[in-house]
Order: sequence, then structure tokens, then C-alpha cells
Amino acid sequence: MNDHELESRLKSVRLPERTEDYWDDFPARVRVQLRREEPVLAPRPAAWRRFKLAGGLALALGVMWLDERYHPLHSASDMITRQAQTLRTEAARLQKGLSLVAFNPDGMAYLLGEAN
Amino acid sequence: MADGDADLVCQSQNGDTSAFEELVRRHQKMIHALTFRMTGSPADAEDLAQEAFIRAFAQIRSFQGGAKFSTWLCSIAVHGCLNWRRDEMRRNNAHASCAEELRPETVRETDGEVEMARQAQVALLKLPAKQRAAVVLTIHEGLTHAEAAKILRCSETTVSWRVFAAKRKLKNWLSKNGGRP
Repeated sequence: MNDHELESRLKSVRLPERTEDYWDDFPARVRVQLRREEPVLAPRPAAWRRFKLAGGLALALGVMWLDERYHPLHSASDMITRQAQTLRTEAARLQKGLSLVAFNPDGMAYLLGEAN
Repeated sequence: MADGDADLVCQSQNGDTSAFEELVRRHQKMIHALTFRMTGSPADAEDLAQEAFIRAFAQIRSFQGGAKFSTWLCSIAVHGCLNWRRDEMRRNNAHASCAEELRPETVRETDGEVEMARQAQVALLKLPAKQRAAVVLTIHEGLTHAEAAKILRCSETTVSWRVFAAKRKLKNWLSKNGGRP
């Protein structure tokens, strides 16, 4: 069987016979279906989009709050700030004569020495 | 775009369903033929044709006029058919419907011609869906491989290969096995 014979044979397949009424009615049926689907289909994407937007926003805010509340760097930073504040307070209490402030590298404790 | 389609498409893009109804009237036979060749079932072909037009209306604003409207419509119908769920039972039903449609009592040709046509349709349905789509678009719809490639969203070489592979199978089934793949 060559290509031409195959193509002729494939084209010989009959299509279902449909009445003229069918062809007259079909476009109207599509139109009716379009009208029927319109109210169902139209609002759905908008509602879905709004839902996704609200969900995304809530998730983003949640992540930001968690980050603010529990981030380890923030805790460390707060601790350093507190230590520095204490140091400044102590230093202020020692009026004159303060000549050396040495930090203990194993912790945030500090040593104060007086020259005299 | 075919004469007159451009205006109707433009009106449809503005939501005019009457204009779209006219487009359906113009292209309904072509789409029905395509969906029938892809499914082998008159009932499913009708459903898929209707679905294709509904989807086309929903997407009509995305049609830019770069291709013919009929080609764009073909693309929607073919992809609808490719997504059509074809489990074994449905396929068998399709074959039965096809055979029913081509019964000698309902057509005028001789028994031999009817049987040959039936065998050709059964063989076509036995092909993998993408090869069948390539055959339907190039042989039945007369599109070039390049046009079919655009519709099937693949390369021209892929279409050529699918057509080649499909023809080889069809020839084998139709010449050696009496049309029963």
C-alpha cells in the first residue's frame, strides 16, 4: 500500500450524517450554553484571585511576625544592646579615673580597672 | 482570516454572542469532522465540538489574528480531543459507535467499501493520540507540517516523524491484518 492509497482509504471514512435541523440548531445551542456558563464562570476567577491575594498577604504578615519575634540574630542583637546599656551606666557611675575597659571574650561580662 | 471572519471575530471580542454564533455556523462542520476523526464517537464528537466553541469564545480576546481563525479554532478542538479521557471502555464504545454509524444498512456503498472505511477508522483510533492528531491535521484537514506543528505546539520535525510513524503502522495494519490492528 503506498501513501496515496492509504490517504484515500483514510479519507473514505464516513462522517456521521446529521440533519439540516441539527446544523441549524447547533450554533444556537452553543449560544445558550455560553449564556448559561457566563454567570458561573465570570465571578469565579475574580473570587479565586481575591482569595489567593488575601491568603498570600496573611502568609507574608505571619512570616514577618515570626521573623521579628524569633529571629536568633534579633535576640543576640537585643542582648548586646542591653549589655552596652549596662556598660554605659556603670561607666557613668565611675567618674574620673576610669582608664581601662576590657571585655571578657568568653562572655559579655566586662572588667573595669581603675588606674589608681 | 477568511473573508468576513475578521469582522465577526472583532465583534465577538467585544462580547457579541450573535457574531460568534455566525462563526460557529461557518466552522461547525469542520470542527465536528475533526472531533469525530479524533474520537470515533458521534456523541463525544458533538460534545467536544460544543466544548471547543465555548472555549474559543472564552479565549477569543487572546486571538490576535496572526493565524487564520479556523486554524486557531482547530487548535482548540484538537487540544480538547487530546485531553479527552480515553479509557478502554470508552474507546470500545467509540469503536462500537463507529461500526454502528457505518453499518451497511445505513449507507449506500457496497459492503466491501463500508468494511474498508470501518477498518480505516478503527486503525486510526488505535493510533496514539498525538500521532492521530498529526494524521487528522495533515491528511484530513490538509494542513502543512509547519501549520500542524504550530497547532500541536511541537517542532515540524516532530510532526513529520509522527505522520511517518502513523502511516507505517496504518499501512501495516490495513494491508496485512485485514484492517484489524
